[in-house]
Amino acid sequence: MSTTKDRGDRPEGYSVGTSASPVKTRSTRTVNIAVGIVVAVVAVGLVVAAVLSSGRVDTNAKPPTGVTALGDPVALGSGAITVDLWEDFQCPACGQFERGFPGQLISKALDEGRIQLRVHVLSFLDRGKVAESTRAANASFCAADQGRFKEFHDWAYANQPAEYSGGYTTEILTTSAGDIGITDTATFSQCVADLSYRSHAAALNERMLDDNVGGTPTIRVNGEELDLQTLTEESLTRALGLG
Amino acid sequence: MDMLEATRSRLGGPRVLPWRVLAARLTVGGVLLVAGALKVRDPLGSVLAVRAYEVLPGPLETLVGRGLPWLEIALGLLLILGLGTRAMAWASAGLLAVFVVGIAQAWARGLSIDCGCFGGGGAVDPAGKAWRYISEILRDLALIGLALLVVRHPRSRLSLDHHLTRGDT
Repeated sequence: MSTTKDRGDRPEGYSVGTSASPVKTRSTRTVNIAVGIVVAVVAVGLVVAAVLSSGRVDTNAKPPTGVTALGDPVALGSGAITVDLWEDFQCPACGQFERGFPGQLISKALDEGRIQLRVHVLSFLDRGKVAESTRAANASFCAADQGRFKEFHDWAYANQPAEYSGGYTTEILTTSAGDIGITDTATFSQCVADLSYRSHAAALNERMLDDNVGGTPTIRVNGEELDLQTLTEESLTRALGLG
Repeated sequence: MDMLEATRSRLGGPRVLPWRVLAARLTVGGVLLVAGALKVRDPLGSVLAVRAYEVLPGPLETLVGRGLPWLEIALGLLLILGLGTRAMAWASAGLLAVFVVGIAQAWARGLSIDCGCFGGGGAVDPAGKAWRYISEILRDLALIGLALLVVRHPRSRLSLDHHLTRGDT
């Protein structure tokens, strides 16, 4: 075992002798191979990521009733103030937002006709799979087909399961029909089970990047983002035209 | 006894050291591989995780968010295999140092984000923020320490480097 005593500290590429020695040459080559592999993997990865990001949207798919194009928000009301809301049904901070004073004030402003509410339903918490965020988003669009989007939205946040618990199952989402006043339950159940609006959900996720939304919930009133850290009941009341 | 020898004997001498370095290689490589693999199926989530740090301009966020998981996978695999060990260990230490800076600046600026280290990421509930940032930074610093051990002693057991250059010594 003549090599035993050589193993240890000497860095590869740092060899005894001239730079033309075989050790130097060969270990330089291993570094080159390794660097080449890294570059190749990242290059291939970028292509795969680009395909993964856009491949989920079937551009021939249709948006839900009342929504013009794939990736557009569900718009409710016709008040003078435009409120854009980006939410994921699985996001705990969105649940707090919706169950707290912001959700209540937004509903009030909508009922009083002060605002047009544009809800951008996102589903990016699924870690790349089709999981509860996508299922819940899809179900909200199935409800939108029957004019029950806001009812579903409020039901989902009122019954929000823990993040990543898998709580929004197809069965549970289907049972929401009774609570939110769905009349055609057969169509709704089919739509929930088939994930009919999967492409629309994926298109909304992509649009979020273009809209420069950094997280959920994000709220913009007439295009201007409200800082949730400093948001108070008074400031939101004023922003929504209720004060 | 010079510094190098002192270090060597503290780390277990010429017989044990290569095994320790192997363990360091597998630990750093394994963590990078798992971290990359968990993120790779979710490019959107990775882009958002990068975006939450609020350090890069928009187009770069997309590029880094999509490419970073693959870089981690490549570095992790090569460290585990032991190919170009020293260079890969340097690169890993550098990458981890960037993560530490990223997390530290997010903390200093008062952002409440998940590091996105193993997927997920984005803004989170501010509760327990300090401890989360501290533990993320300590974990990365520990990994940097291991990576630097490999940089200093790149020769270890069960490496492709050793096999490919064995005939020369």
